[in-house]
Amino acid sequence: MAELLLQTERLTKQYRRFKAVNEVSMHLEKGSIYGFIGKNGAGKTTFMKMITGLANPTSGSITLFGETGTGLAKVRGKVGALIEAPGIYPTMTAYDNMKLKTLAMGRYDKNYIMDLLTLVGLADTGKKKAGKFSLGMRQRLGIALALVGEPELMVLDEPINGLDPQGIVEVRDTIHRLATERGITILISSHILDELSRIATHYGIINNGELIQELSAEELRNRCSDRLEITVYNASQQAAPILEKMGVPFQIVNESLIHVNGQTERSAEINTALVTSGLAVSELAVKGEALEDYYLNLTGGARNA
Amino acid sequence: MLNLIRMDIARMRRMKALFWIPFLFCAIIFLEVYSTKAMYNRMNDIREVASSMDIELDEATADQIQSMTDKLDMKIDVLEGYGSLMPANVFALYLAIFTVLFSCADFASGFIKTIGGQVKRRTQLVASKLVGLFVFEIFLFVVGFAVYTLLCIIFFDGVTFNDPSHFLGYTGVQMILHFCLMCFCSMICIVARNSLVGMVFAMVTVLGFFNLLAILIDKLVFAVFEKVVHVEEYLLMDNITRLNYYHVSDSVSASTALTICGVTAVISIVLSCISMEKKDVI
Repeated sequence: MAELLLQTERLTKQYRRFKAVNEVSMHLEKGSIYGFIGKNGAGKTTFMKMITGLANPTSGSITLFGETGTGLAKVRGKVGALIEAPGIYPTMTAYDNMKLKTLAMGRYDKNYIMDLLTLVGLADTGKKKAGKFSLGMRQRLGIALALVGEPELMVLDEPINGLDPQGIVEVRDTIHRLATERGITILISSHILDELSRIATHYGIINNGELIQELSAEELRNRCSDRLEITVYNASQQAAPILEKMGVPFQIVNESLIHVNGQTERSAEINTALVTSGLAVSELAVKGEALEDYYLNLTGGARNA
Repeated sequence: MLNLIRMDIARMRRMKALFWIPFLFCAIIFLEVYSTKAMYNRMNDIREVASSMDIELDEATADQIQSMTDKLDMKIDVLEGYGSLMPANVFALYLAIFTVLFSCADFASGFIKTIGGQVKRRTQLVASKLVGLFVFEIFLFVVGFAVYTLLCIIFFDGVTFNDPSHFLGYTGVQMILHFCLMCFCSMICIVARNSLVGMVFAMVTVLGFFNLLAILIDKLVFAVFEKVVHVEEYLLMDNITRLNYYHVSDSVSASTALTICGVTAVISIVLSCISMEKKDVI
């Protein structure tokens, strides 16, 4: 197993009677991109705030770079964070915002600031105030701010939330470059599971404050088996008995759609059986289960992930 | 820690309030100097009219006019004039407004999230804020003094700088008292994390509404226990306003004012640190 950069042990955050994060034990390997998945209010942001020191846990422990308890203060500087909306002064330029952060971190240098702004594509914003930036530009400025001080771990909470397709691609590419070129370990949460599946190497699925599963991208691929999607008229009445007779495991999604898990090698046989029985098969396709489907199945079909 | 101070000073330099607050303060100083000059002119007019009309004045009125108009031929004492402005609410008012704007800016913008997790202890952010506020206090004092001197030179025949050691001692104590006020206002902002709440509390404090409350408590205590407590004497602003440039009958002593304000400041700083360290950054 690779070196663990971050490990939490039964980490809990409780607000009066409500447990926002409930005994989460998470493991983040060095060099990985960890996709943190969960619906609104699942506890992702609260968990990330505890990791970055912005919120104090009610119970449990955090081990970061091998340090725990009071020792965490020593390694806080190695963690860059973008939690929810980027924390920037809207009346200042991108450069001025960066200047403040670099001063605070003892890293003030004009070239250094320009390098980071170039990395996120904001080097040419000049005297434009951050308040007049587009959402994507603000998110990228937030990432640049998080990068000050060469963090070894970046915690990004919904960095592509609300972005247009162009912005999503830009931010995704930036994150990918940070991981591959700079070797930064990344903990990222997002609602856009398709985007997350393009960059994440590991996943953690959180639901109602509890981490219900941790798995690598490879494990996910193995679990997301291929299936046949059959579009046929009057599925439950006419197609179901035929499939039952063939011993094929299936699931009727609606009156005209049937999912057959696995069995992709029998697609021709199934199609022939249905057609020879007089059914009009309008479509038969082999499809893989996406991360979204996997997540929805795991969390009981929540639709707002 | 030094890095955070540098950041807060840089942040302060980017604030518009750094310019408009001294500007408004100077405008008030202008009105003060101008009204003093107008009063002198009026006294001159009275003296001239009185002498030309050969009116018989009673002894008390004649003495009063004489004492007031005697000064007209003298140069104005800049140190006394500016020092006397300190216990007035004007200096405290502008300091309190700036304190609220400065202390709430990082919470309002969310910038606190950007640095709050990466500092070893968040109490350092309280310390750097207070250093920034102290720098502003000195800046406002110096700018005000320079403008006051300049206006006195323009409006009056000449200026003097009598008893600089008394001026330095008095303004030094007043600066500490005003800094205690800033600590208190900053604490409200840090605990409440809301600029509106902070501003309301700052105004209520500076404009003496707490004095009314204290008087009410005095009366209540007297009515119930028949004891005189004078709660208002333990209030920050009451001590600032009653520490006069020249000791008069209702003046408070510098040591008493420093003790009361110092205790308030220490409590405020401790509360700020606890709030910053224990409360989640949202």
